[in-house]
Amino acid sequence: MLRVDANLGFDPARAAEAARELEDLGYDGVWSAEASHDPFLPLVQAAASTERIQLGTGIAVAFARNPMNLAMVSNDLHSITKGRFLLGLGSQIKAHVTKRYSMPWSHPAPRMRELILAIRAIWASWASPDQSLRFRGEFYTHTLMTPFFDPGPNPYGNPPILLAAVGPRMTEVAGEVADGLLAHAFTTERYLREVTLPALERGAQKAGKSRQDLQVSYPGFIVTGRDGPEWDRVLRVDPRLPVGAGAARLGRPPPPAQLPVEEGRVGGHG
Amino acid sequence: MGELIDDEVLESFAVVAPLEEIPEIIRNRFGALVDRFSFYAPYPLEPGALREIVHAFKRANSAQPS
Repeated sequence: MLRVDANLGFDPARAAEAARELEDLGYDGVWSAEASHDPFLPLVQAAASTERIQLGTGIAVAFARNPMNLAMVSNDLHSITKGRFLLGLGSQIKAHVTKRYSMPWSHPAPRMRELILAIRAIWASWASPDQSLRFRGEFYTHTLMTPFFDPGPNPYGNPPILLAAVGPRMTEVAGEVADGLLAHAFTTERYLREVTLPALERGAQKAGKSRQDLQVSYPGFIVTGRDGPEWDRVLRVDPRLPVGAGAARLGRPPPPAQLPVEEGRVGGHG
Repeated sequence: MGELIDDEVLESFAVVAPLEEIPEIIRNRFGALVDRFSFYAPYPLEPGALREIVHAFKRANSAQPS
């Protein structure tokens, strides 16, 4: 089954309403983004206004945080959403992590692998009173968890972790330690077949998993419209977008060069 | 800049089709490769248009459970 997802939009104050509209439209999941707003907060609102739809971060910047922050916020969101949360993580790039977030950057794929393993170690320590937290890695160390700070087992289990990846090394990490992959919107069908999916399977094999154990989420560009008003609006988008050629192919004139972008967007992983 | 991108490049990166053909094309191109698809349409599409696409996916899913 191919699930169909949407983006929640960029206005956190409208998150509840937007999520309800998307659930009513029939979508299976919605993704929040981390750009000019926090990715987790809108999902609290969305959880309260919806019943069925899955709610995920697409993406939250992993290296702007530490494994304990991520383990806790996602454990809480999984409770708040009654088991509908998907933890989508991405590395961002060095300049943003170091200069915008003032956080360390090194060895992104091994660091991400360890960050996800640390989150899982923290969750495991909460899931069982007999499981102490003794995570010692190259990048992250978590060795203290006292009862006061331990939320206990989550009745909904742990949320799936989906990792955003483009290059083969990060994609292998997604296959090995995450529950799935968030592909980038610029990923072509050929790149999916020749690079992404083979790397994902290599990673899965390291952990004794197969492709069927993983979910792959793909934000695909669509250039479409019905005859009439929809196509007219498509033709009026930012001339930087590659819509002109497609419109011409479909027998419509190319877009005028200088008309402004109108409003909102339906989009992929931020 | 749109004029610099020919059809071959555009169709490598995007699904370009009339609305009613979109669900079938996406299922054919990506159905065996991915588990979740989100529409990246950085321009306004009416909810009515999106509803048509989403419902077409649902019909296809219930016709071919896999």
